[in-house]
Amino acid sequence: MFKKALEQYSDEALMRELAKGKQQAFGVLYDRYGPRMYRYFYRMLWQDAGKAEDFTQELFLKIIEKPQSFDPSRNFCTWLYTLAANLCKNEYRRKKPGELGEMDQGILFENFSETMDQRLFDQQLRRAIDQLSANHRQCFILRYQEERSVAEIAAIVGCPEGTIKSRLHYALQQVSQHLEAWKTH
Amino acid sequence: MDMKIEDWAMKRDWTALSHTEQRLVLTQMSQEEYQHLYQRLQGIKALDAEVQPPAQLRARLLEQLAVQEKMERPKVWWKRQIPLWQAAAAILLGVLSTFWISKPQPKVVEPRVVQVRDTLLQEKLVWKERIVQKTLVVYRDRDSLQVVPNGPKGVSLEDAPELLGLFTQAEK
Repeated sequence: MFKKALEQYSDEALMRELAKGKQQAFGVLYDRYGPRMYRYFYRMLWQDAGKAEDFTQELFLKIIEKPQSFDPSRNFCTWLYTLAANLCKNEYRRKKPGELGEMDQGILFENFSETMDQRLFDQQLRRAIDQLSANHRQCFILRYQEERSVAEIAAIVGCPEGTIKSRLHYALQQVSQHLEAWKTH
Repeated sequence: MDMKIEDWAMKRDWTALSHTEQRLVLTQMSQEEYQHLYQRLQGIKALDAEVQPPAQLRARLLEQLAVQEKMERPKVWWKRQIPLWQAAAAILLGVLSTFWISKPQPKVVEPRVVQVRDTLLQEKLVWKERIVQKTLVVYRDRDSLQVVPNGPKGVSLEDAPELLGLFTQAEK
């Protein structure tokens, strides 16, 4: 009965409970956001499952270690994505320029011999997304894969909404062009 | 492209749109273009959607949370459990201390009648009676111009001490 009551709490209320020391609140929060954040890292970090797991763990450890760092007046989901986006940004900075290219190649040609159309399409879509710059990829994933609103993305990235719209427009255009080119090829 | 149309395309296909929404879409793109956008966005959304975190990640995090809880949140003293005898002794000590520690009472000044004996020195005049013998000199009525022949001659007081004593006694 108690667990059910916690599941009905809002994210912000759960964070308040966690800050008070209620461990069950963390379990509920993880069930809500764990898989979603894992997928986000997976998409942002070149479909690397190991990295996605490490980063998800690091993200939730931040919540465990300093739950009071969350301001309950803010939206929890936006705050969580902001933390995740910063972790990704650090990882992009840490990566050497050459290393990224090699990794892309490995991912891109993995299972390339598959004949299924959908798999090929997916492969091309990943390739198109991975070819975007870090900023454009971030906006693209948050908008079209994580289904965040433009206002939320602006808050997560820390840019004006106009900039986000511009980046989205450009990113969508790039992905479309890539897919069109692949289809006609 | 209008963000509103993009929002629709992320969730609904052409047939799920109302007539008003369809009319608004047609001002910016054709039906085929909208349907194409819808399919593309669905494809993007579905990409890697089946990816799930490993099950042990949740367990690991919960374990870490328990460790963190133990490390950072020491038990507060009022929640600490102590043996019954310690609790009883503490209460007894508290009760006894009320006897030992007397509270300072405010001083009340009460009036008292005190009898005090003292010595007074009083100077008293004491009258003492004494008898003074005086020789009464009686002068006879005689003509002073009358010279008594061969009368006694005058005697000096120094030569008559009894007469001198008479004078001095009178002064005392």
